[in-house]
Formats: sequence, C-alpha cells, structure tokens
Amino acid sequence: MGLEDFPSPILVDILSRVGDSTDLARCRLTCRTLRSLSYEARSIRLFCSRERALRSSVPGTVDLHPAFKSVVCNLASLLSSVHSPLSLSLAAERPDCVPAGEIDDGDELYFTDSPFLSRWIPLISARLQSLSIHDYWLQSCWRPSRALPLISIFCSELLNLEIRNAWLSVKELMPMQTLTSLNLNYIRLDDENLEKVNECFPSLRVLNLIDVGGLKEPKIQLLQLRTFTWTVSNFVVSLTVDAPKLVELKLTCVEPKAVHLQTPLLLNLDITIKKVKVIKVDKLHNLRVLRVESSQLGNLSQVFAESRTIKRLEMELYEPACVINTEQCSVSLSDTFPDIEELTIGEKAWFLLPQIVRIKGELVSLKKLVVHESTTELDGAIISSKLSILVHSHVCQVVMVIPATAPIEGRVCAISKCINDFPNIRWEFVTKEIK
Amino acid sequence: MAKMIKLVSGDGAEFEVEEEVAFQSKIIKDIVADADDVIPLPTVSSKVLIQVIEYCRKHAAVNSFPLSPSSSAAAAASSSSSISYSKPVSDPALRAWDNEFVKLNNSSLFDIVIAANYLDIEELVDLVLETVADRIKGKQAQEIRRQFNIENDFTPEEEEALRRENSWAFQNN
Repeated sequence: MGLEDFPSPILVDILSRVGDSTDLARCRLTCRTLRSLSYEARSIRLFCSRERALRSSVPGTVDLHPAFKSVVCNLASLLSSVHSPLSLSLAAERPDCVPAGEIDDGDELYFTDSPFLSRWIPLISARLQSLSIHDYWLQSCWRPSRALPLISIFCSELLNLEIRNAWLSVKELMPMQTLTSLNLNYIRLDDENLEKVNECFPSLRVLNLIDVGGLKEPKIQLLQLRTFTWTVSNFVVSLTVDAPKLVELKLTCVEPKAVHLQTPLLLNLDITIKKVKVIKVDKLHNLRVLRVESSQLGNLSQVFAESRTIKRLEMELYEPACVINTEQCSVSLSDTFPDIEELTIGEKAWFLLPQIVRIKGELVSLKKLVVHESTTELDGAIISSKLSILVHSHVCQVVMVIPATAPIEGRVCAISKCINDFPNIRWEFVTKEIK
Repeated sequence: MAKMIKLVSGDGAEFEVEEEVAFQSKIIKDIVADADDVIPLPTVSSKVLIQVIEYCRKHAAVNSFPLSPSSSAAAAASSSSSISYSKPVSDPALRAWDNEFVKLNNSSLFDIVIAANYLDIEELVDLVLETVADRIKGKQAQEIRRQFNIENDFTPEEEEALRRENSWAFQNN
C-alpha cells in the first residue's frame, strides 16, 4: 500500500506536520500527488542558517545557491494558488554570541525589511492565519522596520503574530481586528507607552512582551486580554496593566517606580520584582495562585493577598542572603495566607527560612510543601528544624529539590533524617541540575 | 459491573469491551447514545480492531485519572506563539507507551489511522500522523519513495525541472 492511496485530507495533514520547507521540497519531488498537495500544507517553516546565507552571497552562484529571500518569494507565489488557511514561519539562525555594539550591514538575513516583505506577503495574505518571523539581530538591530504597519495593511485577517529580534516602528500601523495572539520577543519598539499596541490590537486574548525595549511609561489597556506575560528588561518609569478579563499574568521587572494593576478577575499571578516605590492593585477577588519573587516579599504579599483567596503560594527572595533586609522580606504566613493548601519555598528563601517566615498557630489547610535546597553540604538537622516550622498536622506531601552536585552520603543522611522525623508524610526527592 | 459494548469487525469477529474503552471513539459514543449496544464496523478488520481496542483500553485507564491541572500560563505562553500542530501527551509514561505502540510498519499504521479516523479517535489519529511525519523528516526524495512505496510518475524532464526549481533543498545530494 502506497502513501498516495491515502485520502488527500490525511496526506495534507501529514505534510502540515512535516512543516519544514526543505523536507516539503523533497516530498514534492517524489510524485505528482505529493507535489500538488505540498502547497496545501497548513503549516510551513522556512529556516535559513548563517552558512546557507553566506553560501548564497558568493557572487556567481545564483543558480546553485539561490538567495533565501528569492526562495521565500518563489514559494509564496506557488502557495498563492491554494486557498486553505496557512501558518507560516520564517526564521534566521541565531548568532552564537552577540558582542555588544557589533552590527552586520548585510541584508540576506534581514527579514523584517519592508521591501522584502512587500514582495511576498500580499501573495499569500488571504490565506495567512499565523505569521512568525525570527529576524537576525545583527542585521536588524540598527535600522527601524516598517514590518508591523505593512503586515497590518496586508494581513487584516491574521490571528496570530510573532516577531523576534527586530527594531519595529508603529507609524501608520492599522487596526488588526482579528488578531488574538501577539508575541514580541527581543524587540526595540518605537511605541514608548504602548498606545499604538492598545489601539491597533483591540481583540488580543494572549499577549507576550518579552524583552521589549524602548518603553517609558507603558500601559496595557486591552478589554479582551486573558493571558499576559511581560518581561521588562530595561528601566521603566511605570508599568500599568488595565485588563478587566485577565486571568493569568506573569510579570518580570527590576525596579520600576510604580506598578498599577487593574485586573479584577486575575486567577493566577506570577510576579518577579526587585523593588518598587508605589504599587496600586485593584482588589484581586479571585486570586488562587500566587508566585512572588522580590526583595520586598513582606509588603507585596500583603498587597496581593488582601482578599484571602489564595490556595497555592510560591515565595522566593530576589537577592542572595547577604543583601537582604530581613524585615522587608518577612512574611506572616498565618495572617496573610491562612487558607493556603500548597506552599513552595524558593532556594534563597529556604536558605534564610526561620528569619523570613512568621507563623502563629497552624496553617490548617496546608497539605503540600515544596522546598528548594541550594547548598551542596546538606545538613539533616538544619533541614529538619526548618521543616518543623512548616510541616503542620494536615501536611501529607513534601517535595524536596536537592542540587545534583550534593555528595551522595550527605544526601542519604539528610533524606533518612527527613523520613525519620516526619514519618506520616509522602516524600518525594528530586535532584536539580545547576545551570 | 461495567457496562459492555459489542464491536463486530468487518470479517465478523465480535469483541466485547467496557463502555469507557469504547467511548474513546466519539462515533461509538454517539451511536450508543441512541441505545444500540451492538456496533457493526464493516470497514475495520479484526487485526486492526484489536490494535485500536488496545490503544483505547490504555488511554481510557489513564483518562479516568486526569493529572492535576498544572499552571496553564506556561501552556498558554507556549501555545500562543507556536504554529505547532499536535497536542503532546503530558504523561511521560503514556508517551513512552504510545511510542512503543507505533513501532509498526507503514502498512499497519495506515490501516490504523483509517480506522481511527472513521471511529473519530482524535488522539490516535494524531499519534499515527505525527509518527508518519517523523518518518518523512530529514529524508531525501528517493528514500521517501522507497519507505512509502511511492511510484515516481514524473517524466525525466519534469523531474529535472523540479530539481532545479528546488535546488536549494538538495545541497547535499
């Protein structure tokens, strides 16, 4: 039984899973059926390695080594005759390391270049549902690109958009009403307060802004947003999230002057923040899961836990022990989190444990504890005494994460002491590789 | 006492399975809703039906004890940006079992996916198609033809033109 005896929809499904344009080109060569069906693949990935870009830039080799950009344009014209929805992904190989200030003034891997995009995006824009472009930072970092406005004009029906490693301008950006997911990763964005983002992407449900620089007082105001991951790597004056339907938020920043959260339906909050002067949070009536990593652990816990609805808590210190102001980091678990069922203690917090946790009486709902041990010289007695602060009568499960570099004898001793001292617990010991 | 459903293969063999096992197939679930406990499957041979039932039995057992909900932020973050195709099975033990299950020749896999498609067992269709796609990735055209019994129906001129058009894909040929 040959592959071509298969119903076409199943073949198209298989080809969509193959995805990579090189593999698809080889399939195209096998027989007529696969050749025509390959253009109907619903998901296609084009990847250009630096080696390939260099090969094609050698003069006189155009036939043998056509430029990657012409391959993309060629493929787009072949894809334009089909009408099924398409997810397209274009990626340049990442440079090994990026020495500061180095740039490459070549063009072969500069994918967010508007002349290049305007050659092929209009050909397939009617089909395009998802578009992902991973640009080559050394060629894109020194010039602003009009990729976003261009995509907004040609791909008005786009659902998902992802761009990485580029400098993006938002001048003349048009509204994209159907876009529900936007992912900007390692981007310099010329929209310092995110006004254009809010205006032109009103239907977003999922937003990822990871290492997006060029921001000053960014404010996200999106009515439909459900999930938001925001990693702010540079200094900002203030951070605001106004999202009435937001359910999950993961926020990582260093030291903004102010943070405002207007997210009344939030269920799941993960916040890493060294210090903040002013933090205003509309009461979080539904918050169930909280992860907080900060040098102001005490303060922030009180701000987020105001409604006393949290069931799962993870706490971690932002800085290592020597720098800590233990007063600011001290959390009163019984007052602030009386109803938690699951508690996770990060490495730095566990190291300073007795000093940063205050408990009056028992945490009556606590059933599961996860602790991260960071020292390689494990001392069973110390571990046991820390555990006795947290393991109350209802705790039935403890997971201990131990560094993989801890010597075996120390591990065995500590583990047997734990099991001996707390016999009614279901124990799990996990080793963690140190990065 | 678990409710039993009777499945009858194309060559007339009868297989009694627990309801939850049979319900891995959406089609069967719908038919049984109309109060019909004996289900003829004329297009599915006994050999293939036995394999499909084995898959359903394993997955019914796992599905009845779902894993505790993990943070969906991670899932949302990864799925929002990805243009990837299948939903991976989250339980590593089950994934290992699935990988063993699909260690079959292409002909058997084809029979299974046709049956799974007919019976609307989404995860099994997913698993087989992903396996076939993996067997295509990284192979030269000639190897793909050999593996899947594909007859080369191009004229020599057509083949030459195609090779030139896609020369960038054949650097190492």
